[in-house]
Amino acid sequence: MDDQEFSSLPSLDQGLWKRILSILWIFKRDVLILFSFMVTLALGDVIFPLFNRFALDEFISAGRYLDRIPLFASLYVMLIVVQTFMVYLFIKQAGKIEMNFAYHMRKVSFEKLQRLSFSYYDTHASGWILSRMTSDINRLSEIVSWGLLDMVWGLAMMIGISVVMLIINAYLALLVLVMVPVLYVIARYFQKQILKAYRDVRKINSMITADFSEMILGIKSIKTLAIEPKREKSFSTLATSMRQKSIRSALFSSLFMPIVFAFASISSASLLSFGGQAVLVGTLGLGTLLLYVQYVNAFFEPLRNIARILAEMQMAQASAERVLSLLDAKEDIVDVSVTNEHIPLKGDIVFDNVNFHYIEGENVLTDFNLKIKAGQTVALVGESGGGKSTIVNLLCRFYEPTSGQILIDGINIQERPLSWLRSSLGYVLQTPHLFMGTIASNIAYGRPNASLEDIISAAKAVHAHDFIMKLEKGYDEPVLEGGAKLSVGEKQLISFARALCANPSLIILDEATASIDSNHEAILQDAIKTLLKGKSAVVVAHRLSTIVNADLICVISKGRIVESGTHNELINLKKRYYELYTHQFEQLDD
Amino acid sequence: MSSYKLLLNHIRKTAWMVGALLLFTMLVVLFTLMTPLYVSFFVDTILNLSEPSHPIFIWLTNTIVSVDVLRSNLWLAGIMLVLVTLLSGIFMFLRGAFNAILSERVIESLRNALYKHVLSLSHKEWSSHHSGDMIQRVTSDVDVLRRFLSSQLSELMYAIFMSTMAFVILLGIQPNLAWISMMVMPIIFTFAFVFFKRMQKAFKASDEAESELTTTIQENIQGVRVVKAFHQESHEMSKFESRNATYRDLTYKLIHQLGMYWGLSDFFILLQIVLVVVTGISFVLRGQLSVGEYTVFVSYVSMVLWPIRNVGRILSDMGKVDVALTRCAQLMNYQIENVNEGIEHKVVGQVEFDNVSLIYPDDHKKVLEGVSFTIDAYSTVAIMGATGSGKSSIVSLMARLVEPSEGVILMDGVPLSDISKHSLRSQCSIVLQEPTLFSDSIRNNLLVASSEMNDELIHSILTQTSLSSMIENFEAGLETKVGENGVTLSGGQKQRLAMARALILRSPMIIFDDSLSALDAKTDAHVRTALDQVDYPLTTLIITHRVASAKHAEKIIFLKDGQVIAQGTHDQLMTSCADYAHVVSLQEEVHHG
Repeated sequence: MDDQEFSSLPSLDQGLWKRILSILWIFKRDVLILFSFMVTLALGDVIFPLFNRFALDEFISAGRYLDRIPLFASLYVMLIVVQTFMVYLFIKQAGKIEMNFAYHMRKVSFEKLQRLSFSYYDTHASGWILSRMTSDINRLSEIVSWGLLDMVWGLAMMIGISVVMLIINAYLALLVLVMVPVLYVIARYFQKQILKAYRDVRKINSMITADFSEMILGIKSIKTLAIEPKREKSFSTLATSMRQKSIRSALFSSLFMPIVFAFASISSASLLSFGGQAVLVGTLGLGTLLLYVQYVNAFFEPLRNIARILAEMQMAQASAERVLSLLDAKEDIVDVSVTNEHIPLKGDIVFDNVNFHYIEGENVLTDFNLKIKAGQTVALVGESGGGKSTIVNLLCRFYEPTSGQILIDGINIQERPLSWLRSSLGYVLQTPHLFMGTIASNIAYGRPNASLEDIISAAKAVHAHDFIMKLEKGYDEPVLEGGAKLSVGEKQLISFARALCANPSLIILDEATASIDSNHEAILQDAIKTLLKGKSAVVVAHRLSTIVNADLICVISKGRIVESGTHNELINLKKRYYELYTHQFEQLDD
Repeated sequence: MSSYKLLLNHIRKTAWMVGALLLFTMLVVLFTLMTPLYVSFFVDTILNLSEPSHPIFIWLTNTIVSVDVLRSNLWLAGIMLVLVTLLSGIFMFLRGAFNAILSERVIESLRNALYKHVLSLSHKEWSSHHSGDMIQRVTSDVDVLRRFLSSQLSELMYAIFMSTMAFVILLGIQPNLAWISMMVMPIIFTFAFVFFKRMQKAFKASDEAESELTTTIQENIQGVRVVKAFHQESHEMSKFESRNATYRDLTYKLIHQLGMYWGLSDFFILLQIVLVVVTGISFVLRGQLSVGEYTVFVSYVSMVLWPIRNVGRILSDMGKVDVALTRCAQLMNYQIENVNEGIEHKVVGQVEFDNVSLIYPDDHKKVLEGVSFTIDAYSTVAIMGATGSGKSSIVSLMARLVEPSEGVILMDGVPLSDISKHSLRSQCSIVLQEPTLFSDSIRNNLLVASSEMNDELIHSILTQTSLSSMIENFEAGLETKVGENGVTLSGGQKQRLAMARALILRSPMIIFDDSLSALDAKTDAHVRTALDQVDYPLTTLIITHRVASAKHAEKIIFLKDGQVIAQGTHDQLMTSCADYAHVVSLQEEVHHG
């Protein structure tokens, strides 16, 4: 079972592992040190039985060299000290590789995630990305450290034992080595079965977890629908099938070991009968025979693990594929390098014949043109799916237009670094997102060097100051995961303060008032007024009160502007806007 | 229920398997110990021409096959070794099989019990416990128990049998050497136990660092819009970097300590082996031990000590099992409700609230106070009020999720508390503000509570709820999967599916828990028109904060701070209730600028 044969197994993807190993090669010094530890350890494991042989053949059978027993004992103890020190060192070393590799993979993946555009986040659920970053990287790091260690040790041990056995007595050695191909085939078979059974178990286990969490999170729906018996029945089917699959998987695993033992015992048995004969006629020492019996067990020890390691490798391969697919994901947005010159952004915006689609063939924007003068507020209204949010996304450069260009202050935004645009942007989205930290750190998010005065004045301007002061610790109140404990309205006010604190020259409100009930309406309107004062703004409209004061209102339908003008102009036009305005009181879409 | 009683209850059903598991573990140990004994017999009796000393082999050579036959047919001696191994293999397999069957059955039974219990929890319980915590109890905690039952328990049994049986056999061979060869056992055991007990803090620190790292990644992914819009990628990276490094360093430190442990415990064990080898030699030289018996000692020492080292680790880990078990038992002690207690009542739809008050436990504020109103059968009634006015509590009372603290609710003249919850809930369909759709096809979601339904009726209901065009857009139509692994629906779409799900039941009463107001005005109006046109008697209750949704009801009940301050039609309230008129003007103003 040399390396060549190993990597040519059909189920192992060579190219993939080569890439993984090339990443591991960053830590080549540590890896080589680990290799040397493992080889030393395996050598020690090969030498131990030789001590026993010497004791049996010389001290016990022949009664020679008895005066050297103390020397024998001290050598033995020395070997033990070396061996156990190796154990300590290799664990430490493997841990070092595992942790550094995981750290490195996480780092490059995270950096990659920061560069990927929204089209990646649109097509990959957050849970999916998260498990690439956590469990997949963990599994991969484990196999390149501990898995590799097992393989090197096992291989060194088997080679070492084979060599010693062949040197001492080639004939007896063959009795052991002949079993290797047989056991290898058996291990391969079991590896497949165990892996398959194990996958089934994992799949059904995740279904059980999903069912539990769906039930607990949806308990109110289940209760009010009075469907408890139905859920209970379907769960118990799942639990039963979990039991059946788990037992099946356990049966395969517990069958494997006895079979390996049985085949190994054939080697031992033939050693006893052939070797025993030699001992009886006096051509073989008893110690040597027992050395071989001891070696048989040690020799098949690594082979017993081979099924497990191969199964783990296959799972790690799937993880590797997924992690690499994240690292290989195409970066849609190519940033130009940041220059030192500081050009302030004024806010003259031009959409020039912009086309855009998320999916090939389904144009969201078609030859879209729009001009916004610096300081103007433009409202976008219309049915959902019409392209309003897309316009905003393109302006923020979350996506690039398929064709056409967007100019800010007369320059195509693709020719300027992202930081130029985004550091001048104040953005508030429909569902507020707060980060863990404090209220103050959340408001200062867009300008980390903001002083407390800046933060407070931003909060005051959007009427968030009052409720913040009512919190136990005021601005230092910790914000828990997802901003729990704050109402949606409060979180949205903090988002407004955050946008204002960033001191932007261009403001984007993407349905920013949708989730706020009408009691907070008045406060919010005032907050928006403060926020938009003297700045270019694009507002995806939700409530008409936000729109009526806009300098320009565009009704967007199917990726085009079908009407534009001021509130009064459009009302007098008595067409789409008029219809929206008179028929729908509150929400223009869902 | 105490935690051990919980586990015992579920084990009891398969108690005989515990016996079988014990038996097979014992047999495995016996036959594993047999192999070195056999080798020793082979060496001493067959090769060294001495008389068999161990009773088993005396019996063997006297009854089955004589020493002379074995000596002249060494292959026969070899076959006997294979037989011993085969037998031990068979027992090993049986032990594994029984272990799996036992643990999987116990876990299945426990899972079913937990599921059933959580399904029956009372409103008080599920609204006061964190759902994340409950999910953890029924999943990760159960996994801890599963691991204990499926591997740790049998490892413990194995180590205990192994050490005692080996010791007994060794005592029979050479008592003095037997004592010497077990010297290090208590040290190894104590060392392992104490070490892992002390390591628990380090394990916990590493776990916490990992979960903090995960949260950081999660937060970054979920807040990606904000991160990008505010151009804080580099800030996020440095935040991540420090957590990533903390986790790496803490875990590395942990592995480092583990390395010291494994190295040291290996040292003790190997030292014990040297001791046995050296003293064994002197015993042999003094004629107190045969060569074969010497090999038995050397083999047994390692057979016993490696598992004992594991026992210390498992025992020190037992705290986790105890915690998991306690957490499951606590969950089983949460109060449940019996949905079948009470009478079956055929609902017509005439409802009366008579002086109803409601105080939630752990909260001294009255949510509702002296609320009285009637709903006529087959009418449409709206309950209006701002957030916190208590309007949603009315829904909870109607579904008997909570019981009034004072006053009575009558359904068709029958006290609501006499009617079984199942009967009530299956006849009053409630469309929740935040409905749950199950990870299944749209069709199965629509039919989740009904037994049968023809496609024609489904389609007419989908038209009523403005869902037809959405479903036509899906390639798989009604078979499209929603939820976790399916398509993502907007809030409004979910809301409409929940409405369709309720309408399909053709219940005599339908309650909208602030769910109509989540729709856009056009769909809201469309749904309300459809409700007016149903071809069966229907009582409708609309809970809302939006004037437009309530305006057309035959009666509007206006709630403020838990009290009914006015009831009547829209026109009546406009003149009689200043608060209502104010809300109307506020919403109109918002709408008209």
